Amino acid sequence: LLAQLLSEPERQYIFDSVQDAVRIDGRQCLAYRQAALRLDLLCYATASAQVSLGETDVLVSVREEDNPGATAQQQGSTGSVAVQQQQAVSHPVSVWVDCSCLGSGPEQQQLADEAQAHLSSLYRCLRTPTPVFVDILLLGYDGNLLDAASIAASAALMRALPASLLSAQALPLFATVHRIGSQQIVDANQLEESCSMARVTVGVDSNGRLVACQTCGEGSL
Amino acid sequence: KKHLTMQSAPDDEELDSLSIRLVGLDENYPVRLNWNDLGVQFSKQSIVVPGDRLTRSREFIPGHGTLRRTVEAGSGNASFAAGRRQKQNDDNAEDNDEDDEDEDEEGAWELAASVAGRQHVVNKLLCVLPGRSRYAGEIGDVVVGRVQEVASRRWRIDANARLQATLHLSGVLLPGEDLRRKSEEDERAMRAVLAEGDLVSAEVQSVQADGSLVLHTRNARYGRLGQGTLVRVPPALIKRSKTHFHSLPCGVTLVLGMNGYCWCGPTPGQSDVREPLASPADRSEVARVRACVRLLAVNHVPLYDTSVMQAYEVARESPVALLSRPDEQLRVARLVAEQLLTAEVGEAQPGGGGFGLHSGDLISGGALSAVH
Repeated sequence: LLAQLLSEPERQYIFDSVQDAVRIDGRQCLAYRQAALRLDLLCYATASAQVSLGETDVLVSVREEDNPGATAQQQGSTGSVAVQQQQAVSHPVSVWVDCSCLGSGPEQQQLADEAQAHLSSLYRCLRTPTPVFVDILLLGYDGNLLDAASIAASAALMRALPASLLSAQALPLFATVHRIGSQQIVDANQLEESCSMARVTVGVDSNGRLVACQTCGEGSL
Repeated sequence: KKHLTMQSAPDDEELDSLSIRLVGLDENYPVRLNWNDLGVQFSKQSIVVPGDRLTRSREFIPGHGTLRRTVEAGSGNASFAAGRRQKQNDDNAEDNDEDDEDEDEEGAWELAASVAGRQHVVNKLLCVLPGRSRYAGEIGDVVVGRVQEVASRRWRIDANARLQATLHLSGVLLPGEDLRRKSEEDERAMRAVLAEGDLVSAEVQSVQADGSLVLHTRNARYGRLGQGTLVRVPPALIKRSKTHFHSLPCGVTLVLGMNGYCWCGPTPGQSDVREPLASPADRSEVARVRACVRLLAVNHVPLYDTSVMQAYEVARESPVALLSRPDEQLRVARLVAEQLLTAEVGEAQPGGGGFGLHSGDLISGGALSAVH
């Protein structure tokens, strides 16, 4: 999360608003902002998608490695390593997050690093036979980067991966729940994230199964 | 690129579930107010882009956003090197007598625009005002700022300008005092007055040579802002008016800072020493006013008390969460813009009540940002 400098009355106002179940933008506690999804924007990617969730704008491009053997040989120093990588049937999804559109300060870099770490661990549930690279470009930020990125990444992965692979393991959508005081809210914006004590992000596939779970923060849930 | 049909959300859907719109590259994108649809026309001469020739007449003094360049007689090519040299001298040029003499006598010269914006002529001064630029600040402006740093006998404030603004310890009105010199204890107790992160409403006292602002709060209505929330809008959209503190009838206090920082909060009661906690109804009203300010800003409608109140009236019946959706924002903003334009047309006297938009507002403020 990208913490904002807030005054104490502002923080208290956000906190009390959530306790009263009237959030800053008038939503209920468990209401999402409307998301807009655009597909196939990048010609050089295997698949791409852009999601805007409120002011949070995420562009995801998915590239499937065409020749995994060649990559392995370049990376491996010995022939045995290359053979091992060719024999491996599953690769984790490789996630990269870029926040340079927000600025070049240390906070933005920290946001990118944290988001990359969280998304990588959340996407550990997904394994592909060929290496798949998911690049996430953050064009605007108003909270809830993980959910927006998951919508875009799932949309792109659905178009990039073959149907046989998709039927075996379903793509997860992440839902992040923040705890503020005694209330839980979903789809927190940047102000609410600055006031939250803890969050849990769960990944749920289309069958309703829980496939990923991650917590963050100092409060208890 | 594949074009997808846009599936609009059904009207009766639950607002507590995630709804995703598939947006294609068709006529429904972008979902923003187009002022040309409302019949607002911009004359070709008033709006310029960088490089446009403004005038060849020597009677005009180059102001902000212009540059002089020599035009070689016959070929009509502008000498851009001379133009760049002039531009460096031109930033505050009120008088060009002491500029380069080598081109004054020979050759024609012309005044060209260096930024995109509208032409503004005051007597002999010709300048180009950009539609979207950083807030520059003028003496007497009401601004809302956030304290970034507490320094020795002053606060450094983020006022959405190019440089941090300064609020001196001598420029604040401490509660319970008329006018006294600030002592040592006051200096040590600065954080009790304003700490890092606090929002404060202030007035611009002066503009320094480097462009930074010096603020003051030597008036009872300025000072630290309490419960509420900040909305950031482009500064060009804030219409200059007599007062920027609006106590709306719905129980919401709205402060429209000229620097683009707008603050909405519940109107405090008079009797309490401590600020009372706002009720859920108050919070809902504050959320509605905040949503109105945001939707007007997103659709480039000038922001002042009348436009915000009209947006509030139009949006009074819809649930507040609906006002975050771009199509609903467009609907409300369009209604407000139409009402403001018809009020301007029906306006007989120029100074009557502040209702309506004037074409100068549209060009200088709201709609010109849309042109960009």
